[in-house]
Amino acid sequence: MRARILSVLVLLPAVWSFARVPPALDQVGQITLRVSPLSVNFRAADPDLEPTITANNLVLVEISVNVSRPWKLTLRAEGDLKGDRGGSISITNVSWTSTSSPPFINGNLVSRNPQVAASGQGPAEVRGELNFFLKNSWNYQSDGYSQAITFILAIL
Amino acid sequence: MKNRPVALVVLVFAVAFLGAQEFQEMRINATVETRCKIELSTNMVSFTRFGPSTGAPIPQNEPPVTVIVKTTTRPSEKIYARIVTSGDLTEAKTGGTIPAESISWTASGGGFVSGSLSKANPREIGRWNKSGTYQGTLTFNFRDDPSYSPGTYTLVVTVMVSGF
Repeated sequence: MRARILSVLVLLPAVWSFARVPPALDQVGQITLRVSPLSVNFRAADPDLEPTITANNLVLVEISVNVSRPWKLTLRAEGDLKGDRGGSISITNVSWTSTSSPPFINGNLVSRNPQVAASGQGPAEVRGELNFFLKNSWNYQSDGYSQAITFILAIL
Repeated sequence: MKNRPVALVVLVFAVAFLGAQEFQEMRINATVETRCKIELSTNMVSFTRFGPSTGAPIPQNEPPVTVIVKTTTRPSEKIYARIVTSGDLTEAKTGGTIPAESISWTASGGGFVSGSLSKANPREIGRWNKSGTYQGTLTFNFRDDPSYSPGTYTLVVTVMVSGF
């Protein structure tokens, strides 16, 4: 008798889980994220004349969510801007503004800490442009710097 | 036998979670060039001898000259600020001269150094080894000499900053 009760307790969560899984699986392929271009450049500039440098391109972000669920777009910097000669510039000096608010919001990058760039309720077709900026400084070492930014679109 | 359903549930959850995210990677590139600039609070200092010369140094009439050096540089580079003169102090009417070496300065501020003018060589007023903004002051003195004839003597000097 004790063994049967135990079996029921183990199986119940399994049944409950299977009941919830199909809607989640339906989401596969029902959200899309497009980002273009896949790189932006900040040119060298006199920090006195240009305290803030604007990236060479606007970044177009297209989001498609075909499920009735909340969604969120975050930007995760994979680290600080790394120089070819070993120096670095804190990624917190990179910020963005959006031309389409809401659902997009302005923000600052933080190393390995995703920052919300947009959010909303699906289903939704969203398109916006992000303008990136680098805070300029005389304290930067002269060098070429680079870092990857990951755009993450998630269904909540 | 009892463990199988639990293992299956964990697997299904993992698949469902992965399917609810989309990723795109973008690269951010930035270029910082070597550059430097120097700013002076004034472009002129003067000295006045009152009465007979005693040979004592005469301080500049104006407040100390504030110097600001701004630079972005490579880690291996050094930044030098120098003062350059091409000749002696010259009296326009008589053509009389006073050696440039009679003018010296006292510096304050990190990286700034005291010294005296030389018409033969540029003289260093400061040295730094990394990017940043550096501020200091220079107070000029004129070493008077009774042999200098009365008159108005002028000299143009150039203050420059460069990286090596």
